Amino acid sequence: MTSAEALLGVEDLSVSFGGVRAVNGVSFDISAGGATSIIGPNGAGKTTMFNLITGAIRRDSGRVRFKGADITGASPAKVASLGIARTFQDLRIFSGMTVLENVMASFQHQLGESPWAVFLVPGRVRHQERDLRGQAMEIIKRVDLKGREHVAAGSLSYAEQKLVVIARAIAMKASVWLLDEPSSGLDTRGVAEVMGTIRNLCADGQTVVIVEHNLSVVREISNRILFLAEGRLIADGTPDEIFNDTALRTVYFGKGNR
Amino acid sequence: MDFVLNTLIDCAIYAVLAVSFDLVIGYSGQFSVAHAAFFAIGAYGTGLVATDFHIQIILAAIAGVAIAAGFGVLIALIAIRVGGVYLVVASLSFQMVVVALLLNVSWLGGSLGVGGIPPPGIFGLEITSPLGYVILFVILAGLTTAVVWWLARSPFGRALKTIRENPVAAEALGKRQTYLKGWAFSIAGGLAGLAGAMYATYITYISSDSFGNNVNILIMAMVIVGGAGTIFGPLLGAVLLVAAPAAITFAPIPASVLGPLEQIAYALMLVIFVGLRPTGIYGLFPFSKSGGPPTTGVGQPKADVVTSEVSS
Repeated sequence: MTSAEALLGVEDLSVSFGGVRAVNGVSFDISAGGATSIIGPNGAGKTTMFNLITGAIRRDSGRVRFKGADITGASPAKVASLGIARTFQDLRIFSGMTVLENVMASFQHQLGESPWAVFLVPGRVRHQERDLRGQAMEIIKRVDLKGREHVAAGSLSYAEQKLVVIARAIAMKASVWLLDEPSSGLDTRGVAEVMGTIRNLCADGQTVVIVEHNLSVVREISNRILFLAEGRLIADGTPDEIFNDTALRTVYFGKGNR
Repeated sequence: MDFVLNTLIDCAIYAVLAVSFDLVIGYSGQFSVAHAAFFAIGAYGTGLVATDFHIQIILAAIAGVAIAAGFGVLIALIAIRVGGVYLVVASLSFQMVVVALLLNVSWLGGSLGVGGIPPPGIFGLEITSPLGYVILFVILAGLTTAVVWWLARSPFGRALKTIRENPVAAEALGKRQTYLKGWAFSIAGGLAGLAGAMYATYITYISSDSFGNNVNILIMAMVIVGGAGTIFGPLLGAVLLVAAPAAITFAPIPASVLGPLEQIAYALMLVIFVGLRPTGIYGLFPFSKSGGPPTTGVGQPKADVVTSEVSS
């Protein structure tokens, strides 16, 4: 099952909460490049899958592999530093910090996060800060938040806060993006912008995995769909294969909804 | 004149306590209630090392600071596992245990306390005059403020704030909680230990009743009334809450009334500021906006666990 070129892979992953098997023996590989969507009804284990991959919750059994290395059981901070960016459905921005601080905090391996360095090599810390500040301003410009960099992130509109989330993820310089419900709560234009962002990421050779409820978004941007239900992977294929699957259509998509 | 100098000395000691406590409660957003315990550990560490081993007082003070910083790591280990209300309970228990041990273990001084602590000095030069203490302690308070200020505006301070704002997101962005909290608590603990060393060498006789929970409340009031998550707020709070009661002693109120009145005043101020002005006095100034107060609100640690999102 595990192919050599897989960038990210999970193998026989399971976890239970109380008596509920939230994820039940799921295996899949994701190769570099392109967008994969994880869809399925509420409670299917989609977000839990993200939590398991990033180490936010402990698995009961199974393995997670990234770039050929076993990262099972690694802490979320470790997983992030390896190059997996993850966003949350409820955004989790740092409300009391400015947009600039939100982005600057997201760079990995900052010398100045060590108190030793702060006092012993202040020159190098300041130099890196200046560099990161420049990069952060570039990112803020790229996500169309220019002029808002010194505003407390919590006072932005919901759509703008979603842009802060994207900006933070860009600053992580990750190679895999796990996006949880990127289009939820946005108007038509916002959804179009998010889709544009994801397409740009894919065009840049990034690997994107999204959990998404908006099926038209899923159909438009993904080149592969994983269908989860009750913690199991029940279908895996291209958008055409999944949406034309008669069994899935009657159970999940509903008749005529296509 | 001596009265004024003594008040300044108290101001300096409490400034060190309040500014360092802000690192924990204001910047990291960790509601730990054990700062008086670190104050006690620093004071007792200095006093016991100096009197039992007869070494230079400055070395004893360094030992006191190091021991307090070490215990800071212990509280950090607790704060990594539990947050919010549970951390309040755990840290408060630590505070109670420390004071109880100091009171009851004879080699730690016991009910007699520790006396005969030498004044601060180095290479035979000793400080003996109140003015000397004022100069030294104001310098130390200044240095402490500078250290905390420098840390707070560094990438380290920014990473601490991410943990305060949203620990789950902070981890997902690669911020290591263990590392950051470990440092925040040990630096804050060490600086509280420094305040302890200052106090011990100034008062020369220490007993456990100087480090009770009322001291915790006082330090907390200084940080919250001054403005948590800012550097100069706690400094302001410390000066205000030391100087104001000192000034009131000149008023024609009998001492028996003054004591309880003071406690009531602290409690009232805490309630008023937490309820009406969580940004503290410092937040009233227009130039203070950039720092930003903790949005979680110091009195209400946000319940923020991964399990809240595992359902989908």
